[in-house]
Amino acid sequence: MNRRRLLQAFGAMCAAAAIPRESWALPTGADGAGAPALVTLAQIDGEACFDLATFETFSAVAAFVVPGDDPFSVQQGVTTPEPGGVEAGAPQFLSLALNQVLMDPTLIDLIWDRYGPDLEALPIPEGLTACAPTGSAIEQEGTVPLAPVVMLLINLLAVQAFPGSVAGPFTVPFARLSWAEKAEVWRRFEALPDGFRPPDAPFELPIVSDVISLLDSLAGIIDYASGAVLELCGLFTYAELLAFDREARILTHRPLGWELSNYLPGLLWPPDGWDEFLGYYQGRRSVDA
Amino acid sequence: MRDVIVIGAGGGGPVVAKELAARGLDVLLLEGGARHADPEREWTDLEDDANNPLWGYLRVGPQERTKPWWLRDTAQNSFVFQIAGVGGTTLHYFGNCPRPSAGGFSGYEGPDRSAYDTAHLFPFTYEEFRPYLEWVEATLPVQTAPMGTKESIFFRGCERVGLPV
Repeated sequence: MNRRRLLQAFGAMCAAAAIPRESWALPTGADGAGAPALVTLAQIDGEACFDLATFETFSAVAAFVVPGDDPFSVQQGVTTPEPGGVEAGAPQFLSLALNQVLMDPTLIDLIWDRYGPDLEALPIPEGLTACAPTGSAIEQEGTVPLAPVVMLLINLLAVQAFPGSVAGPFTVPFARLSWAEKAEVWRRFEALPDGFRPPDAPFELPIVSDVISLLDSLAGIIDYASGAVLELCGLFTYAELLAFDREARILTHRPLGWELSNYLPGLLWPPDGWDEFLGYYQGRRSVDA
Repeated sequence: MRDVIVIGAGGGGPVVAKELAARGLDVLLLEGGARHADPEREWTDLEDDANNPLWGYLRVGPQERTKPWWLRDTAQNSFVFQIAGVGGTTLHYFGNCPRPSAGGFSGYEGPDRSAYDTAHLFPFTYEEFRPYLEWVEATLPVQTAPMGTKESIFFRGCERVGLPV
């Protein structure tokens, strides 16, 4: 186990720990009698399994933020005639963005130095084991691959709120929900850190303060993620990502988001300012402040 | 052996370094972010390329943009738009240099004084601070800003709701 793998496993552990334990037992019944979704994920090996789960979860999120004419928008019951966030590439860039989160390096050293060997032996709930990613676009020591943590959180919250979502189209529960049900999942996501963040504690024992600072930092990351995921989906949908050639520094075509928002109609590049000099307010050229 | 090492070449570090060096000290100025030496060639006017807080060129992170950004830990769930590199967050402000509100300084007795954060006033008066503002304004230099469409709309709005400008 290397440092990166440790953080991945620890992230998955914390994602699971943040959800009440009773939710781990997937309900069975009319809707859940088939293949429980999380177990299905665990039955597929390796990165492809994770990538599919992440892609479908984040596609469902992108459709929630900017609906389009894609299957994820159709499933949630809210569509538009034109393409939306899924088509704009928001799911892929969201995964990339969440895997670039850099934790406080002193905290990482603390975890590794004091708890590394013990954490390796911690049990990870059945069904989550195979969902830890084996790689990422960013192989930077110290980054936290937050995409799998967020993916797990979203789907665990979806199952908790709507047990019937364990079966249906797609591979993940969140993608099976209606738009209103997704909103309820997000309400729970945003409320999650309130119960997860530890109180201020007067303990002087190093291990207690270590754990408290770790929980506080993780609560902060979850807090950040619940808001940032939606905001980033909006940014990625309306910005130029898929149309931008970074090497040549040109746009290969008008970005989809520009068309959706009617930004700079007909132009392929923003103008370098506008010729609109209107003088000085009340003719003022100096200020007595 | 340096006399002084200044950490950070944002809005304040270079000023300190310059003033100390001008008084004969041997000063080393360190910066962990980008140099931004050739914006005409290195920058674009595209939203993600510029302003994405994770990998845009106006971000808090190392110069190499394939490396991750630096996490800013705040006491509450918030995000502060800052920039690491030479110039620091001043790179966001396009040369606008408004003076601070006098209400944030000790001794302010204006009729709107209760509208300010009186629990954290500067421990000196605005009048004591004024010479330093004038020094900065002469150095940069600072002059009144021209109006474009956005500014004229902003001023019109201020007039409409009675805000003094």
